[in-house]
Amino acid sequence: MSQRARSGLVGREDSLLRWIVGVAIGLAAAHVALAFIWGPAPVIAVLPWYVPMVFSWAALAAFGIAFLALGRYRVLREPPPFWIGVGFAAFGVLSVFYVLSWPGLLPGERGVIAQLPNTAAGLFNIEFSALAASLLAATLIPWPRTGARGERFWPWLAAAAMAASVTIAGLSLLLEQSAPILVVDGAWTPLQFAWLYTLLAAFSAGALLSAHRYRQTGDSLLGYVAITQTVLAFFMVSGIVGGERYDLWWYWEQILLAGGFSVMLFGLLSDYVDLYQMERVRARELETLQRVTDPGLARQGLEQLLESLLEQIVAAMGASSGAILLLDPARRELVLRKGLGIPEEQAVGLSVRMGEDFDGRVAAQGETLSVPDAQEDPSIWSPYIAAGHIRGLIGAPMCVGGQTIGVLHLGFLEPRGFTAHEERLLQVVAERAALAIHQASLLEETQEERNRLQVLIDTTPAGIVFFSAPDGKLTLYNKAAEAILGKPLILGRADTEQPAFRRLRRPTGEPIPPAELPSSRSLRGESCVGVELLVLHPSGRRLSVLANCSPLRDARGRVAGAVVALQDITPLREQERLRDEFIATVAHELKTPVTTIKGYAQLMNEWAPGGHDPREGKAVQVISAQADRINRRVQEMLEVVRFRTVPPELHRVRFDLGKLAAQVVQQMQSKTSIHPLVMQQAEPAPVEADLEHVEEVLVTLLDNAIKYSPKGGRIDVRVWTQNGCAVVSVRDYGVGIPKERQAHIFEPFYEAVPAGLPGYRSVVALSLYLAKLIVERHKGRIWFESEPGKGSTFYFTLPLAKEGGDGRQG
Amino acid sequence: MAGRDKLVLVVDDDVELQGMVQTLLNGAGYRVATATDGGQALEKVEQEMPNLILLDMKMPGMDGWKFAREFRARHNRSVPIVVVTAAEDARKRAEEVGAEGHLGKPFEIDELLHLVEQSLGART
Repeated sequence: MSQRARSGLVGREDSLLRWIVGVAIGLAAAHVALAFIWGPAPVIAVLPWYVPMVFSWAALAAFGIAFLALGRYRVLREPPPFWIGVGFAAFGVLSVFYVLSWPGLLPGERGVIAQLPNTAAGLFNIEFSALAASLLAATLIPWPRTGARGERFWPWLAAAAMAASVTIAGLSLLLEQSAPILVVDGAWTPLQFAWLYTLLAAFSAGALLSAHRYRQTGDSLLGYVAITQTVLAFFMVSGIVGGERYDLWWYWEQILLAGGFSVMLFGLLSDYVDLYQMERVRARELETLQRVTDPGLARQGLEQLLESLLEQIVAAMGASSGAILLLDPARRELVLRKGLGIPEEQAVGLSVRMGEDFDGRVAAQGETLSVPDAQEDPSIWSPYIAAGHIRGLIGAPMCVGGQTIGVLHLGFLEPRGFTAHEERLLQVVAERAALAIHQASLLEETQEERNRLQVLIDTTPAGIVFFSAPDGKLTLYNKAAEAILGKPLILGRADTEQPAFRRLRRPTGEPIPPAELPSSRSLRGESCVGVELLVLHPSGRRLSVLANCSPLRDARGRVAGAVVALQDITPLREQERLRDEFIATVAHELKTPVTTIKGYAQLMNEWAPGGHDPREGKAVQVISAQADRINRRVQEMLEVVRFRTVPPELHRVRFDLGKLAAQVVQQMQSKTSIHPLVMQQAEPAPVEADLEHVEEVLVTLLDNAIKYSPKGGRIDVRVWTQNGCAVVSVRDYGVGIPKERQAHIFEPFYEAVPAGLPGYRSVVALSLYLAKLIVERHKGRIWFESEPGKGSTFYFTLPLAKEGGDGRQG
Repeated sequence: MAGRDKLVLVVDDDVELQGMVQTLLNGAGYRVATATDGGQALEKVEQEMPNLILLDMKMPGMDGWKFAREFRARHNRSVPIVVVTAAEDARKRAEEVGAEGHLGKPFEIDELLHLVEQSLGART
């Protein structure tokens, strides 16, 4: 309430109230003095008796109309309290009755008042009682905005007052002759005096109370109520004192009333003008705020935004210069980013430490500060303030979420003070400006981030393609993607409708159903790693491409898009192909000389069985055996290459993996005497697979187990079923595999145990790689667990045959 | 043993292998002519029609396929050809050229002797 701007006549001049009270006291004193000086003179009025009365009624009417009109059109900040209107209405109605009792208005020589003095006095009393009650209520009931209860209550009270006044008037009329109670023989009775004193008390108390409350709240309406009550109190004094001196009293009382009502009317109108002006000021302020908070501003970019903001604020606040300083949090310094109306060379780039100078203090204290004359203030020394000839200076901190991001200050060429209202307005403007600046900074950061990302995406050799969810439209891609997939990539079109995506094939050349494209899978929330694809490039080439894909999720975890990264592995595949070709050629070339060597060795053995010399016989045998060994390696190499390039068709038959494992164990046992091969577990495990290949895998695993247990030892074999798969494990208690080599065990040409360690065998190690190829070709899995020095366990799985499969029982 | 005087033409670009096979077949009582490519083999055939041809497929100059086609076109279709190759799918190669038999390298000498005997027997 104390913040409420004091407006209107009383608001502007608090002392006016005292003046009015003073004048009223003076008039009343003069009235009383004159009444005693002149005595009961017949008619001393210079003007006809009805002139002051018409004047007072005119003022009353104008006041009422103004009151109602302003209330109706909501010019007054609060609608006029209903019960003030009620009081005046009662006053007006009763005045009519009262006037009717005046001489000359009704038939008869002295008029009704002389004939019916009790009736007249009664009407007068009721009239002023109604006014006193309503004004007192206006003072006592807290307002504004608390009239709700009063508005419900007062119509009844008004109606009751009306009814009471009519009753009393009628009663007085009846009693006039028989039992006069207020006026007897032209003189007032004690009852009449008591009533008048009560009214005086009511008006006096009301005047004091409303004056007090007006001082508390500054509400101009209360000021007017106070004035009215003061006037009426003195009216009562003059009435009581001059009651017997009738003419004089009448005249002065009417002047008093007219004066009081005129003051109220003038005050109301002046209030209205004030309010009108205030509305305009507020509209301008609102416009300033709107300009500062225009969302379009933030899209301009930070530099442009600062300039626009400053221009708008300086113009709206009528300042001659202004500046925006932003906080550099790392250095705890404010840097002047934009100045207006101050020399450019003095301004931009200068910095002020937190807590120092004017801007530093504003930022440090986090509140709006003002200086009437900056040139006179020794604590202000910034060149951009001094050189700008700035006198009046006001600055507000710019805060976002409680964090000061900078300072906004405005300069005026004249020394001046700043009202609390101006400080508050600048504070609000600065807050809004801070929001806009913050938003623009974020936008700029986002843009920079985006640019960085774009450069990153454009320079990476991998092809990158973004799709948005849920429509799956292409939103972003890089040049590498275009090079790999082939033109055109069409923005805004779904993956399935992209010609480039229709040219994707599986490595075998089969087309890919749209739902299984990596992009489609990611849009459904799947991730995929290392999916190999074939691209039928528009240039006619066939590119091998490795695709990784991942869904992009928003803050709530929903799929917002998908990213597909493509790597052209054609050169890698070409290298592999060349390597395979080379291996195949070398292996192939070895076959003929091996045939010759073997042939001669056998011939030599036939020509002289056992040799001419026992050593010769042994030599021939070794030659033959080693030729066989070379042949085996050659076969292995060729098999690997063939498996990699043209995977052989699987001759699937149905057999029991448990039985097969038992057979192989038995066969292998014949090769070693120091390794007991133990079939620990052999559950029936029907599979549908290539018997020869699976046997090869089993042989490889057992062979390895023997190979890496050079000192001998048990080897355990188990076969069981689990999760729809047949699982085989081969466990040895040998040397194990060194940790650093474990990751490479299934790579071609990799030895599990390095040269020099027990278990090392200098041969090209392809068998495990081949085993892996075979198992994977059967959609199985192969892995191992190994601890150096304690042995290894190799496992592989094969899918169990479906019930009622039509393969032969192996 | 049927027809000890029968002539076997060994066509292979590897002279060492040629020598080994020649030694083997001579030891088994066959006469042996040799050629290192298809062209030379055709010349040898002009000189004397062999009873059996052991044919390598991959050779410089005229290779096994071309030779087989040429030979069948110009000469006696009844002379059996046995394909001796280092290729993986000897059987398929043999079918391609309409050969009577096939043998993958490396082979056991007994295998070769058996096949030669069998092929000659089938024709005579």
